[in-house]
Amino acid sequence: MKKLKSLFVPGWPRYLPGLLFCMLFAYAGMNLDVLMANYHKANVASEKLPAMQQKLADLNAAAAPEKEIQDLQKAIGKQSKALAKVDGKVGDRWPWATFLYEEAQLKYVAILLLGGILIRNFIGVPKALLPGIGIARPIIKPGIIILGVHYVWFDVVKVGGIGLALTAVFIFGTAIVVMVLCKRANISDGLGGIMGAGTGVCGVSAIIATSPVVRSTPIEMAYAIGTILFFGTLMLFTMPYIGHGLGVSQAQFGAWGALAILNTAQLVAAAEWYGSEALDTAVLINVARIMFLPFVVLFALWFYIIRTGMHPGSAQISKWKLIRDKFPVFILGFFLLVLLNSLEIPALGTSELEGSPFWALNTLQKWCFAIGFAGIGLSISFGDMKQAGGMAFLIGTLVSVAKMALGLGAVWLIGTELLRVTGGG
Amino acid sequence: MINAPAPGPAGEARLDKMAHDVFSSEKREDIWAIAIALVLLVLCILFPRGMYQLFSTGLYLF
Repeated sequence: MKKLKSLFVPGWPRYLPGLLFCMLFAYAGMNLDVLMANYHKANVASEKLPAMQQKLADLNAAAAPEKEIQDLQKAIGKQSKALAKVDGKVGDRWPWATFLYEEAQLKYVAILLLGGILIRNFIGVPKALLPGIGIARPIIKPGIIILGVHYVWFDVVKVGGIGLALTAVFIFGTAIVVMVLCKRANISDGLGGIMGAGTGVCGVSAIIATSPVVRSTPIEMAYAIGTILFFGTLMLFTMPYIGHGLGVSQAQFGAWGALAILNTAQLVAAAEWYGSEALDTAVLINVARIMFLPFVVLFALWFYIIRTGMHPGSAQISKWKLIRDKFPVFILGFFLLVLLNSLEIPALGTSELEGSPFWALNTLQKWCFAIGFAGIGLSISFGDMKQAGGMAFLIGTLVSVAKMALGLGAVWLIGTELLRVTGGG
Repeated sequence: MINAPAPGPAGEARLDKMAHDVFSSEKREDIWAIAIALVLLVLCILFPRGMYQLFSTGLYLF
């Protein structure tokens, strides 16, 4: 009973208004996405239909095979339906919709993130909503668990194995380089340690986890968190465009994002923005990445305390307890769904099998993500990012940019096939 | 915004408490995430078509 009670934060009703606000905002964002998609599809249909109808007339005149005519009729029916959805007719044009939806990629992810930032910084959010907005972001986690129905163990071994090797190299490479450079630049251990952990593994969580080990001051934490927020936001909004510009495949983008974007929520947002295949790869590699969090904390303990002998008592710290305390429990739920999907239990079906429980479950993750993205957008305050600065910021940013460039090179060399999630198909 | 306590022993104690609170809340978040996902799975087992309809078309206005 006591354990059950501890699941509720004291004073939990104060979180409800902000959470409801995020849900409403997510609902509006998802509907705006569908509205723009409808007008974009209608615009394409209006452009294509005359040529298709002409082709149908030509085929009929040439007595073409029945199958070819039927296929074309089906395609015409689909395009006419798209046009009818917005009460349009051939000749009507909605170029703004195609520009926003296709070229600017203003889908629900961008609507919620950009919209949230605009509301938070230019309109303002009442103080009563702030606690609830803070707890909307983690609703991405049930979405990640549900995403487990997209994978089978083959994917976990193939993509997860590559992800594990990549993240091990990049996480520890980044953490070591930042910590060593910060030492050389005479930056305090408290700041260097959390900057190394924050730029190496998953951002703010890593900073909070490492801070007691390296004895960071609250000001140093504010600096490091500001830097991570600034860099993460920058990556979130630029990487999808860089990826499209360079012709990076979806699977490669997912892996690249998992190496370069420091925060799980921001990574999920960027990958979902890029495409569903990118999301599948990104989430799997991210699971491998966040499993390293306890080991990065252990590394910081060794680098700053045990190696230098600064606090002899710290050598007695239980490493097993440290690993257990910092282990992200929710990924067990993800692995449970991967296991159930791999077992091919007929009663559960698959994410593709119409009418099955996993097919239904697959529609829900987008809504979990939408609420989480609303929470991220509404949490990004320019004021928080102003906390970033100084030499540690410069080192963290330079190393993160280097990691991004090297990560791109690595996924380019690995290629798409080894990074693609098959889902058993 | 981060409320920065003053440096010194009081600040350190508060930092320790902050780290402990954040990690307790992360664990709590993780357990809630698993619970929410399980509830959704059970609902999808009981009403697969209903859940699909609701979340793929029912909630959309357009």
